[in-house]
Amino acid sequence: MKKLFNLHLIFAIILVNSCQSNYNDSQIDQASISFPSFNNSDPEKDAMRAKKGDEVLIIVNYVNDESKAEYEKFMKEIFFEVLSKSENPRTQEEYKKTRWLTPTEKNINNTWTYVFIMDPVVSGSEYNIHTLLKEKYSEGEANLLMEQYISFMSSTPDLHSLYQTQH
Amino acid sequence: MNAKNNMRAQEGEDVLLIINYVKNEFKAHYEKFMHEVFFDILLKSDNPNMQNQFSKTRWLTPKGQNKNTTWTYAFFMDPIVQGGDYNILNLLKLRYPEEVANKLMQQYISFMAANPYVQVLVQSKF
Repeated sequence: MKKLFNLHLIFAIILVNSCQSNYNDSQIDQASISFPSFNNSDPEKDAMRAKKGDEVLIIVNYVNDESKAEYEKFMKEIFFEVLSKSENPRTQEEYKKTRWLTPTEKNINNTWTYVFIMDPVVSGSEYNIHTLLKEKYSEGEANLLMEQYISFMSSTPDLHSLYQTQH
Repeated sequence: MNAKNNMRAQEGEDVLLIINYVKNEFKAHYEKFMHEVFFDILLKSDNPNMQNQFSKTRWLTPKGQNKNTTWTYAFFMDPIVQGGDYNILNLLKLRYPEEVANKLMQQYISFMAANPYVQVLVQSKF
């Protein structure tokens, strides 16, 4: 319930937010300089998937065409850097169990579909992007990054809470 | 634990996500159909391509009912079998005569509240 509340809070922010980001490409570049680039795959993460009876959360995001490159840069250089480098055991577990799927082509309405799959859901996790950002950034920086992330989206995400069957 | 339980797409592989919305009054019928017809054919097929598709097809069931009273189910081809045939009517024809397969297909369609959401995606490194 707490997780759902937090997700709804994020989506409420998305609905009412009309602010433009105060971060630009050069600031993201500067932020990313301090992070080593991704090199090694994690065999445990690569093999991770839900088993029978596990809860799975599918989040479908629709990204504006003009924001595609910035969104992907944000995801790789900020979102997954924070998620993968966290020293918080719960965040580490979330990282191992979070899959990010990218589009093969543009949608008819000029947007791009990206999908998160929590495969499986980590029990008790909030999956709140703002909370994740605050592990690395100050409250003010996290707020600005969150505004930037929201500005990439063309609409509210679709959420599907499911269970993995025996099949 | 069988090999299917550990199957998942690796970086760069295509996956297929199909979201189905099932009418509330047909939830039990749909699940019975899936277990007793759809997966029974897929599971018992002697065709190596079908066996390969089965090993990479995941079926997810809803945690709760949607506000509009429908139920969301998902297929996740994790990964897609290149050259695979994901046509349900063709699958039904593997066991049943064409006329019976067509009727079963009509029955399957009648369970749905809306067109499925279909999306081909690529597994990223994350």
